Amino acid sequence: MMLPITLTVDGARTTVEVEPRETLADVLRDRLGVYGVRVACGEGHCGACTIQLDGATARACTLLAVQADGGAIRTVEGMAPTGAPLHPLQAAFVAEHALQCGFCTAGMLMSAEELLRERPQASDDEIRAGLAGNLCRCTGYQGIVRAVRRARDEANEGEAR
Amino acid sequence: MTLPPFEYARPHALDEAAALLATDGARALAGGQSLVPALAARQPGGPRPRLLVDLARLPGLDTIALDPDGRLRIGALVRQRAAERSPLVARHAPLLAQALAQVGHPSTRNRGTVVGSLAHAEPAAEVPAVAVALGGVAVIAGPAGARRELPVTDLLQGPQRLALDPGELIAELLLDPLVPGERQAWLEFAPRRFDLPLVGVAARVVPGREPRLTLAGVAPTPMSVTQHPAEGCDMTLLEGLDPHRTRIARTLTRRALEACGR
Repeated sequence: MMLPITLTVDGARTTVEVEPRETLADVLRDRLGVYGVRVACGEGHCGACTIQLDGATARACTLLAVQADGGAIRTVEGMAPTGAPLHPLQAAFVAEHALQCGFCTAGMLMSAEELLRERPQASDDEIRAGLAGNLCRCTGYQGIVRAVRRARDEANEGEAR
Repeated sequence: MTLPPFEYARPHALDEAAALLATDGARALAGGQSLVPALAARQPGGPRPRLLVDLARLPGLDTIALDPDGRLRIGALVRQRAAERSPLVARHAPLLAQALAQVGHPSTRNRGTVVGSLAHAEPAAEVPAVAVALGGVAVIAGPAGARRELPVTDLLQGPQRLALDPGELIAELLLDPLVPGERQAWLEFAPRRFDLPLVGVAARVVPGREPRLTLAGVAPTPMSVTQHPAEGCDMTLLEGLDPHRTRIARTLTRRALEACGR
């Protein structure tokens, strides 16, 4: 049973035939070549595959691709197109050494972007709570929290100016 | 892991959904935040549906409304995140808003539904206990336009077990609203924050009445008690249950009552 679905991925509209059991993560990576979407546990525990569907974070490994039919998907690949400057959150991750192996980073960025969009003044506790669904096995999280705090402060300073 | 194969249907009418759900091996899919991980885990005894009936396109089930009789009406497709932020929920069922803030993570609450979590019937989960605490009634749709109401206490039969017949689905959840002067609190203990709790406690305190408490995680379904278990009268109810969980329940109960000003 193959079903045609339409997805808008980082601004590009595409139609693709999928099996009902294929997850959005499978389709993004294996059929559309969006390798910025990382799959680690594949069972909804780790948050590595976090993307944004219609502006809200979702775990691409526990979402059937058919459930996302008609939706607009944003991945880490859409945060800063090739050649463009990094997104402020990405730049903050670099500045604060918020990654080592980098496998969790795409998902972290997706969650952090939603968090700061919804709560521009997020407290440290809100940052930690907002990222609690994204596991990192390298950094111990301190650099990640610092990076999100830095992006928050830079955005707020930019607005004050 | 790659999911086991299944067929998929996305009906546009409740009748059509009920007819599909009446077929052998059919299972309803709402947000999928419990079902899809269970499929991916492929554990022995786990779900192996022949057909998933995606409820996402059913009309009229994504709203939260206040009934003329004052009850809060939550459609089967209302996302946990939407209910968590709903002004109606904040005003009339703050217990639900408090509890939802501790269900999973933003990325799962964005997809998962309130009614789906009820239907998953996990003994320690927040939503079933809150639904019991708020006098929840499930509006059940069935084949050929059939409709019936069932108290959540009768709906929940045990872990992952509901009193639903083939072809039936929960269309809406009705909850009692806050009464004047009432205070509500949800407290839970999880080994890791935002994980499924070991134990949760819903407290409702109305001046002049016995406090009403509902415990999640101590029994196969949420357990309602009317008095602080440590004060004596409900000790018998907790006897024979997991002593670790009942100790946590006592502590949480005390704190929940304090949070309600008792």
